[in-house]
Amino acid sequence: MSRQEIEKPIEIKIELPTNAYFMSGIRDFTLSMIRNMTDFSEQWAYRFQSVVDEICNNAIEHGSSKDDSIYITFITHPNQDIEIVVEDNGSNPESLPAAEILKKIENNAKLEINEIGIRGRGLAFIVQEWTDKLEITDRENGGIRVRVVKNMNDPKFKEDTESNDPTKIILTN
Amino acid sequence: MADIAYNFSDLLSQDSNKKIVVLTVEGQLDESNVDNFAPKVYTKIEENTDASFIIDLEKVSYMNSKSIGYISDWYSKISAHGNKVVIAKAASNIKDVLNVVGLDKVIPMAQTMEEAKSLA
Repeated sequence: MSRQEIEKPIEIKIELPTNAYFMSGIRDFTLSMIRNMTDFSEQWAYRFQSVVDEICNNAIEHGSSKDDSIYITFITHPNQDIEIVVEDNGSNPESLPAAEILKKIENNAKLEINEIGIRGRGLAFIVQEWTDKLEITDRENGGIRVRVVKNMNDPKFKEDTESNDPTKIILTN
Repeated sequence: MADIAYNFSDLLSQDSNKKIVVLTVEGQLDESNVDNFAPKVYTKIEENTDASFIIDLEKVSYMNSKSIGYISDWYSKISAHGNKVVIAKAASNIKDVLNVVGLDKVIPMAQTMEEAKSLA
């Protein structure tokens, strides 16, 4: 079946041990999925690779404990958007509630590059800048749920197809 | 775990005979390896307080936000000694992520090693 024939939303769920060791495989999967299952450009395939990696790293570092799992869900709505949800169980002793994470993101987003420490750029800059919707909520039984959505036909962006340079974005009204 | 290789080499700048350390990195810089790699760079910076640094990213295919955080911190330490940092030959997807966090505002990006040497 070709991609053009897929009209229904496709949902892919992955349960991942809480270990950054596995993230290179998740990045490879994300890149391949965006290239093969959506109409996003190569530029956005790489960007989503970073978005997924950053959200998962946050869940691994601050969400689930090392003997636990995190859960990644990819949902593609053909010709509409791609949605990615990452959930943790909150079993990590350093786990933070959604409100505190949102506050950290808000604070970090206001800082200059050299005012932030080693950490703090992932959710505040990469995820927030490269998605159209970022929601962080507490899960009923502990942990948080991070949901991002990127619209396929975002009118704010038009790819510079002439140069194919992902560092160039043309803003249109 | 993502694979990474790195190398340090010394050279002199074109006009001022100032010492430059070239850090060449290859592979994917991510959560699984960057905390082990970063201390090697801090040691090199402390051993070369008279040198500017060129970070050659030509063969880097992925960088996460923490690895960018380390580069920002290395920049602070190197510039505190009155020296410069230049990023060289980064691929377009790497430049894209460096730009979105704003690193391009503080560290010049060079397309070639010759350009990097002239900026260091």
